[in-house]
Amino acid sequence: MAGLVLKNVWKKFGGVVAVKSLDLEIKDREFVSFLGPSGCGKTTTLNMIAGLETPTEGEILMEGRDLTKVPPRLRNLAMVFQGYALYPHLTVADNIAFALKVRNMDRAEIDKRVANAAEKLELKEVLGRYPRQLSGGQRQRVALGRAFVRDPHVFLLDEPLSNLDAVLRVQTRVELKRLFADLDTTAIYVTHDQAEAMTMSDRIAVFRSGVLQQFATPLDIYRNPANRFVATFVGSPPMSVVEGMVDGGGNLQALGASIALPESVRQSLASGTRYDIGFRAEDLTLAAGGQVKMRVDLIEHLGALTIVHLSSPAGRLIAQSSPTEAARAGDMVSVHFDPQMLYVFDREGGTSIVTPGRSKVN
Amino acid sequence: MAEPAWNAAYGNLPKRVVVTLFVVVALLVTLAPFFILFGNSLRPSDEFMSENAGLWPSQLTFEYYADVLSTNGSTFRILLNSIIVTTATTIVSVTAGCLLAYGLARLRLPFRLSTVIGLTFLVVRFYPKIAIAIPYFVLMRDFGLRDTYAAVVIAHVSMTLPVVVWLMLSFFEDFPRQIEQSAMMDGCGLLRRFFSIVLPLTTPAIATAALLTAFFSWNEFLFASAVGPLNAKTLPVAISAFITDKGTVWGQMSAMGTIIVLPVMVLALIAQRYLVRGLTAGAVKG
Repeated sequence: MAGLVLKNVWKKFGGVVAVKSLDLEIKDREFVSFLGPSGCGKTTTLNMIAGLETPTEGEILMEGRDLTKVPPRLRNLAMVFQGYALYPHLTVADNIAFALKVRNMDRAEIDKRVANAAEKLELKEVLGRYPRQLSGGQRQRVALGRAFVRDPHVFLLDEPLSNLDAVLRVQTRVELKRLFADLDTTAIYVTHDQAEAMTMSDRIAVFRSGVLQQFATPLDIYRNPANRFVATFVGSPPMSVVEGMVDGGGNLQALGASIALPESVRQSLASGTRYDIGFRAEDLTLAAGGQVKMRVDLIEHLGALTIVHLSSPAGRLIAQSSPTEAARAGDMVSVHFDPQMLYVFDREGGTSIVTPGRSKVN
Repeated sequence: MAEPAWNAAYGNLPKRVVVTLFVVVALLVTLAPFFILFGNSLRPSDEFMSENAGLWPSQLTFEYYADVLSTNGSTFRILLNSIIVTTATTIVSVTAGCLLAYGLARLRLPFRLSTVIGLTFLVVRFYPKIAIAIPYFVLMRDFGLRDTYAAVVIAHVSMTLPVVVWLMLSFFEDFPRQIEQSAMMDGCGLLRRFFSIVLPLTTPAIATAALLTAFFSWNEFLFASAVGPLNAKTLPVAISAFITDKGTVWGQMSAMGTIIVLPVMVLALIAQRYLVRGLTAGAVKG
């Protein structure tokens, strides 16, 4: 178990900048997710921490020790790969024991640890089998087992659930969370699935095009996103963004309506300037007397809730409604929201100006 | 009703007849020399010059085999030479070739040096071997290695190493990176990674490389005769001795030829599964 510090880390592949000036401090025993779309630099960053890639510039420190030039085998980090990367010619037991054998650990101790891991991961029945004889879920657990037996400083997980089907993924996510809660160790989890990042992490680092956008707790990311990208990337259904402007009277002109703003929101905005206004689906309610009138385009019934796609000539919104929502496609509805829950972004750079997180604090 | 698989694969009757004919012709072209060689090794001596002799001898005799195998045990000595040279060539060539290929596949050398080095190995295949036979002979003489196993083995290694490197290079380049990275994370250095993980998983390719090397070394004549004419004489060199100034000793020559060919054929038959897998792997990823 150890904390990690990345100082001004850059990674360039030829002329392509994969990671740009990254500063990150991961605390001891913290579960951190690297979240972002593919090609955002999250896996490259993980590989640099693992030692599989060398930073073009910058330092990686573990417990104050510079790791940048230390080969992977001496870092004592365990990694679970996206494709599991099990050794096809070794049995499950040998796969799990491999790292311990490389370290010349005592045979009895190896057996004990393998048995423990097999017990914990329900692999006892398949210890003698080869990876090709296992199901996807079992392979995934062997990959985890290989990491668990080692007692590493830090666990690195590269999209470990992405090869599983939807049901198994949710199930394994819960199991993983439980396992890591027991282990109480430092872990870095790379994913493009915001649900995994939100549910499992102590903190999430959101990446885009090689640049760290925000590093904060899941709820902070959700309610106080640093910019429009983070706000729209995190959240399902995604945040709706429309154009708006504050008029001389301090009201927000958006979606063809004039919306009264509370002081806490208004004070951060300049009148006459155009902004991007963000709405979370769950903050919008279809109710009589709402601020804007919109047409229902599409209804998606998900069972537990209903997603309503709305439009007006001035823009589109996605709202979340109860499963008993009576509106139908083509209906005109009135949409209500709490102006305290608005997200306002700079139109040019996308930086957050107002977020519910900040509005509430103010 | 579903058609049987062979029917679907080879089409209707005329098409199948044509395909079968092609296979038969190809087989005839390939196997005819062996058939004649084997026939000649059993043919009585008076039949060799006869114009009426058929492809297969009218009478069978085993005298040439008895003769070849009993010449003061010299054939066994030559057989042993061949086995020593082939084994040594195969071990050196495959070991060095695998390590070289792995290095080329994995090291990130600047200026595309890996490609340059790889191509340099191929140069050996570009010119006729006879062009360097004399210089090689002089070189070995100056090193005091003339007529030793080492001279023949070095010659054979120099010719088989490029093949091994190129065959193994494509295998190592296709080898899943993540499995090796996984081994690195598990604490393996370069050598451990190579021997514990990569090598066991590339056995079919290594077997192919070993077989091709062994076949080459077993059959090679030119360099073996140039630098190992007496003490390190191998079977192909011994065969040439049957062409004498008094004429060609057909029977003994054919018997010896059969003795050379048989182990290779048996080995190829046993290993054909590996050979096919080794030579086609990488072409289609399984």
